[in-house]
Amino acid sequence: MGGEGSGFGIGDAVRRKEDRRHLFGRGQFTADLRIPRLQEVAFLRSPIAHGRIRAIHVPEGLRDRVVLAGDLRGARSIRAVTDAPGFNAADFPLLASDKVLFVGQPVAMCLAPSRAEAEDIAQAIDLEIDELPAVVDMEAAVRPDAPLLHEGWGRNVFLTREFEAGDLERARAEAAVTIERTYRLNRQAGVSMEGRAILAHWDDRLDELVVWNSTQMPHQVRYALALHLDLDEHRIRVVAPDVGGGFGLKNIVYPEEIAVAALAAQVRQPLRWIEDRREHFLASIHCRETLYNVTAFATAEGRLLGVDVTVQVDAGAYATWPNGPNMELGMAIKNVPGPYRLEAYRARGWTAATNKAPIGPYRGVARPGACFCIERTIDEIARAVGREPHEVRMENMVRPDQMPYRSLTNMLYDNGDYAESVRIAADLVDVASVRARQAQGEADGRLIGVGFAAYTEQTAHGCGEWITRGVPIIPGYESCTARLMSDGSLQLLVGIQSHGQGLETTLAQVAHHELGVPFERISVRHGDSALSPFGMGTFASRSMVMAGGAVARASRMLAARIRPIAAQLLQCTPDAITLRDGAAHGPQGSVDFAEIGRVAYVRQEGLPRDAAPTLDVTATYSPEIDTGVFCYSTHAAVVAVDPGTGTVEILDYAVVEDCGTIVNPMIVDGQIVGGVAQGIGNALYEEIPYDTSGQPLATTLADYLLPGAPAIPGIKIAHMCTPAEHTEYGMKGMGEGGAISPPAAIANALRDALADTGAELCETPMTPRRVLAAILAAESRIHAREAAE
Amino acid sequence: MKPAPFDYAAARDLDHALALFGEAEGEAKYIAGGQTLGPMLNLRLSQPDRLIDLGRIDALRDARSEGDRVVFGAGVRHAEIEDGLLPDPSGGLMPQAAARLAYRAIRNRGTLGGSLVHADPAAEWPNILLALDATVHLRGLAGAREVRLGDFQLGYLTTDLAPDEIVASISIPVLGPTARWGYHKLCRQPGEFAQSLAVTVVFGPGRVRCVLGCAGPVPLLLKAVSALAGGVSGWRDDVRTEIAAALETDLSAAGIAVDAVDLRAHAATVARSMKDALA
Repeated sequence: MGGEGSGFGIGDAVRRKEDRRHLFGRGQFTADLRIPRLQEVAFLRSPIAHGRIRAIHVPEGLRDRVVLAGDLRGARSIRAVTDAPGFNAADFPLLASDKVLFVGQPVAMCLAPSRAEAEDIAQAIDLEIDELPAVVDMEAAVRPDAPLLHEGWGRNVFLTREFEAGDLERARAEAAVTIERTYRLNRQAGVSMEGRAILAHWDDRLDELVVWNSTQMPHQVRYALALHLDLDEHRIRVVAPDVGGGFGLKNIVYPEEIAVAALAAQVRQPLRWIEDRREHFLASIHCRETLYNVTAFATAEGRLLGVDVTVQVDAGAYATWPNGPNMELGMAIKNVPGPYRLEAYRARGWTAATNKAPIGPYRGVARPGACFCIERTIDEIARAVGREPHEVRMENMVRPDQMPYRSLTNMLYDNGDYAESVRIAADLVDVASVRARQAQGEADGRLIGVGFAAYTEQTAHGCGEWITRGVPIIPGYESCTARLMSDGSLQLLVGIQSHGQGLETTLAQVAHHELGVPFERISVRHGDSALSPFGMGTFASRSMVMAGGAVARASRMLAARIRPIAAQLLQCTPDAITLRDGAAHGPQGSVDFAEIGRVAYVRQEGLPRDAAPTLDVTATYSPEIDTGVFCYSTHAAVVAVDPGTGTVEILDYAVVEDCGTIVNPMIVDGQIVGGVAQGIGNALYEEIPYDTSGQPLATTLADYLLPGAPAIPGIKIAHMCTPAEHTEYGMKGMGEGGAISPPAAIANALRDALADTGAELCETPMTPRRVLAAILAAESRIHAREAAE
Repeated sequence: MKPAPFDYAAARDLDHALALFGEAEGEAKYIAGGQTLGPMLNLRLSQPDRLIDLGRIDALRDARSEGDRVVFGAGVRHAEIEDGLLPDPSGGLMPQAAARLAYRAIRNRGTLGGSLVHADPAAEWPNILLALDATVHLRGLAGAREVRLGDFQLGYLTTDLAPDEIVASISIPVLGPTARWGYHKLCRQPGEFAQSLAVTVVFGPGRVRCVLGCAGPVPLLLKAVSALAGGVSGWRDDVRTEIAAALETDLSAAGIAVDAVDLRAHAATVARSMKDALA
């Protein structure tokens, strides 16, 4: 291959191309854009969780600065419908005019030259709402007497699912050990550094709507806008400039965005809305809120026999576009078995509608909960049979000789050695020395413990998998246009969107690897629907595999076009040509890409007779299997807990993972560390509680705690490498994984630390208060037992 | 999160600040470091018609020793205390507490007086300065007065300060050479507000002030706990049970009900502050 040994190919820790502009403060985010005549938008939002709008009084003189639902022409409410049987649709109005269903729901748009003035207008509007009883608890929401959010629904349930495979009754009968637990992951927010943002203006010269949008999927946004506005898609251009983090929450098209785009098209006035942090906590999607009731059966040796689980998801008020609240439940049910051999499994679940912000995908989607459920349970089984949890884990895992292994939930685990990842993780944190230290006790009175959590993560799944999820958009492919320029430099135009993943670097590494064009002469253009072929965007741990595959394929198509031209110039046959070091090499002599480009574009007479001019090819790519490739990992945490205050410190943290062939190890490690940091947030800090009237109680960074730098320990990372058999180069996706295991690993470490007290943590985040409460509860159980004796 | 419109005036000195207040139409509010008021303005929780900026008054930045007390201008920054740039009456307690107060960016601008006026029972200075038995010196349109900190803090985010009044300075008795102190703050991570905060100052034999933050609407001077600490010589681990009992006595005397979880946490911070002071 052209780029081998250059230091810029596949497997090289190339420094990121995108860092320079960010380090120098020269990134270009939506808020940085300067457009003449721009008006800023502030949204008036419902202060009430559930109510009927009686009147919206706009002060005299401000009416032309305020846009209500009835003022938007040719714009439709968001409709996200899935093919899941029994799915209840909940159209999400762009602006509420009848009912409001959560605090923060947009009601009116206020326009002014500055955001502060726009907020002044919003404050001057008098919103009269007749308050209705709020539904805030997912279990209460589905009771027959609960007030209904949506007219025409019998119950506040978006959808239900049931799954059963294997003989659970036999597992129950054979079990020496039965574990019953309830696990709760509380609601949190995505908290991208940059919030949502949109700037929309009508370009009169091109007669099109131009939308600058902080999104993970510009092409899908274009599609969605054509769907929701009376506008042909050829008149819409969507540009994602620099995007300051997404984590899934920008993989959604929101009412605010469609409303701003619709109004800009309607009034031909450039408009911008920049979400502030408070709005982010109120009205960007939330995530994670799930409740698991699990019963697990095992033998006296700790062999897992069967799992029976009920999953409840609190999806908030509306279905967001494109996937609604559908994915969380289905993925939870699919992923509870995790990396384990499980022969009997029953899962039931439902997704409740409540008067809270809608939930959506956030790094890991459902799997942190599924992992918490199975991994906490495996630990309880191990304790019940008196064995080391990591050893019980290893014995229960799918073995390499069983690969490819089809799980009960019909996921095809492609390859790898799951137990080996546990073994290495146990080495990295040195379990034996933790046990020795525990026996000795800590001088400061803290208790230490070690915990593990493993997962296997479906990544880069294709068409067939998405169809089983019943989603309206099937993101089974990616695309790339590769263009060798007349001077031998290379442009890659891709349909994904890079918002921190370093794809401007890694995709260039792939093309460099294939073609040998010098790395610094390759640019990657993404995030602009007018530039690149249609692509789905960056989410679901897919872009390196999918877009990397498309780049590889386009590069090879380009190579196939370059070879005959070079052969003509070098007087040899095309198959004698090799491409490296920015040139085509024949048996005798070479010709550089600049000369080949010059001939292809401006000296047509130099081309072989049957060669078309220009060097511009477009490829799409789908992996050879559409069930995905599975990146797996084991995390191990060592914690110290202060039994007096409930404070938890992470003393050591190790990640062992196998994402197949690694394109850029530095970026992969960065993704792991970032994911683990978010997982630690999930485990220990982040939460948006709601009070009984449906008011969110964490709407600023003073109330919503993110892990700060001191909360993130140095993370030990070890890689295993089992190349995927069905993707280019053997790559597997890995972007989300870091965030999956930390809640479970830390909960298990706490369980270990508190083993003598009997306290368990079964709910995230594990705040000092919850830790202390668990200790007190365990103490009172012990006292009650002693009293009974 | 942009503030409602307001009129802004920077005061040259305290007399000027009071004059600006006197002439204001509508609600006027003083601003110093702005580390609390700034966010409150942005959230539109506070919408004054006029902001009077005290940040340029040099006299408020002064700190000096006066006999057996140190007098701090109300505008001294947390960072100046942290960095040891000012006289320290507290034998190291104030610099050490300042170093863990919020984040450095906040410490660079936030002021001692502002913290006392905001009167958050989870904040450092209202608790620590109560333990040190500080006195606040006020200036208002009607003249000057002084109030002991224990009488200044009336309720949650509420003080004895009249709208026109400004905390001009805070005077703190200098601890003697044999004085000891202990301070413990429980917070979810560095820089966050405390969930429990306890400070114990041993002024001399039998003279102890132990203060607990976060449990009630104001910092609580724990009389029973202080008496207990004053009556023991040195630290013994078995005194923890007595501390918990004394704390319950103090909380119930103050009419404060806390649940078992909070009680455990408060007892732990109180015991640790006492241990550091006595051990």
